Amino acid sequence: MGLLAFLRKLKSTPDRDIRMLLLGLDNAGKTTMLKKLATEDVTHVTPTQGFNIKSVQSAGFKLNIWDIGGQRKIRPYWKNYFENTDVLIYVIDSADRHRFEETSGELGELLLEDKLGGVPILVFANKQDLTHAAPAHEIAEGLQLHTIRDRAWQIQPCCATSGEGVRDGLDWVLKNLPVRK
Amino acid sequence: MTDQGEGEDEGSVVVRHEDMGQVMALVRSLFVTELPRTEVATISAEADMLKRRRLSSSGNISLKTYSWSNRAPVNPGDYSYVDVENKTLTKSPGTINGHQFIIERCRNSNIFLFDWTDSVTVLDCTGCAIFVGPCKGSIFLRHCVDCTILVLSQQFRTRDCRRIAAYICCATQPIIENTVGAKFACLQVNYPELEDQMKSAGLSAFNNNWSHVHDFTPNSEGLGTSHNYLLVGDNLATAKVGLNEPETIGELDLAANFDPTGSFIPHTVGLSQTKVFGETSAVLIFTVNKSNNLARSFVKTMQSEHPGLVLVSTKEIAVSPGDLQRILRTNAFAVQCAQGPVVVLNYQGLNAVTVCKKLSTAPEFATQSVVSDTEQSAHSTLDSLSDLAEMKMN
Ligand SMILES: Nc1nc2c(ncn2[C@@H]2O[C@H](COP(=O)(O)OP(=O)(O)OP(=O)(O)O)[C@@H](O)[C@H]2O)c(=O)[nH]1
Ligand SMILES: [Mg+2]
Repeated sequence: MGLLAFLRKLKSTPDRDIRMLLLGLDNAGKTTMLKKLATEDVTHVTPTQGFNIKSVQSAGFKLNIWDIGGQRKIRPYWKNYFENTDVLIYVIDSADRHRFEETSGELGELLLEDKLGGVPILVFANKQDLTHAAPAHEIAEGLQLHTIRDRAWQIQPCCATSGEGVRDGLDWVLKNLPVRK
Repeated sequence: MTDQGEGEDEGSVVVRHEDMGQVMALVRSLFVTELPRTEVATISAEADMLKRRRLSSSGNISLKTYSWSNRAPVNPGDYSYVDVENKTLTKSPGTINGHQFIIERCRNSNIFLFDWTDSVTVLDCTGCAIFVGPCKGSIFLRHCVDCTILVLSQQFRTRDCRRIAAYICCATQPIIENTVGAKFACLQVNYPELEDQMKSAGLSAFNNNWSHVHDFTPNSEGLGTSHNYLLVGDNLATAKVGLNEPETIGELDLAANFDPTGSFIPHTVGLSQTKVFGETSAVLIFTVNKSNNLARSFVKTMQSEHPGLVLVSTKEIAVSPGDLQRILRTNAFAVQCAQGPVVVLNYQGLNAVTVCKKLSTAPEFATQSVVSDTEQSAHSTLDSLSDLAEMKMN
């Protein structure tokens, strides 16, 4: 599903722009997912040094998706992008089992951020196509997602390179966009 | 999550459950009538497990099946080398076939993966020489020390490494983080299956950014330079790839050639801020019959007839007729550039523009190539094309 199709599925027109924030460790597949959503080529994606942003406009409002580089060195800058976030999308490389603890730690910190308080979170268990990938329920268990009580959350298995599962995740986003007056 | 240790919560649940078992056994031995309680304990443990594995806050368990849901189980051992010591191990063509591969905790060993892969991680290796055939996704090295790594990949990433020599053909910008004493060079390799494996992995021998390294943690912050890595541009250095115990490898009869002669990857000296080899020339060669063979033969001819000219960098990039017209200020090549990606060669040396122009007029190249008229226009063409390539990669 491209971004425009996603916009068209919104039941009512929000009165301001929607802001989605894509975070996760380096190599998780964030930029690949963003480019796939924008129906761009994903065979040559370079590691992100800063951030990427894609915007689509339809029916008088804009959807902005921010994809921030996940390298350890630049994670301290994530907080500069928190403000006014409507949905947090957290991407995990399901096949990099040695970094589950690291990604769990980063996610834990995000959940404590005031500026992201109550913001719904979609966790993508990405790279499900890979040989050594852990299934989503195993990742949910390891991240202790069931202990999240202050917001709506969901974990969605997917493959960013083919796009499979991404749409199901976005369908959840649609249902959980915060309502504004 | 198997190997990262259970969370504290989880650990204590297990312990409590065991305690409960002992208590129940004790109780059971005293009052037979208390038996049903064991069932209660089992059910609550199961409910607890289900709770911990919930997939959403609303409690919904997705029953949807995906292409990976019913995948035939594979033996992970077939797609990993773990705890290898003092050995030479080889995966021959066709044995990995696009799977993910993991190389972990190996020491003083030679590892050759003569096949294409999807993604590769190399973790906690010391003193190893590792060859990884065309990798469709990323190769990620972490906690490696004193290793030589030869790889063709879409992405190349390192973190927490020391003294690694990387001979690479990388489609995007190689990146390093908290890595010191790294050396980068242009990979030189060939073996009969390589060309097909490159196709399977979606890689091109001409799309090589080996020298365009980005250091996330430069030790000279602010100066824009990094002392953490070195670019090795000369051809001689690449001939010696520093494999462990060449005698052992010799016995294996690798049927692969790591010499510059006959390399499937054109040798480039790499872009560097400091070194200039003379006049710059930009050569664009179009796809003919879905192949870049024409570019290959241009490079070959240049090598034999004009060895004094240096091939600094190569790129292969899909350019729309509109973009090409904007860059070259002519729409004379709209038909050619619609046939497939364009190979861009950056030559430097004495009279590079004239020499390249002359060769490009040879009948085989004449209608399928463009050479910038002046050094100035060569620079602007090369800059525009790298901007375009960069834009497509972000
Ligand atoms: N097999 C497979 N590979 C994937 C998938 N998603 C991403 N990749 C590969 O994983 C690598 C990393 O992807 P990126 O999109 O650069 O990751 P990122 O999260 O943006 O990384 P940073 O920019 O460093 O934060 C690339 O080589 C992708 O091709 C997937 O679902 N399956
Ligand atoms: Mg990225």
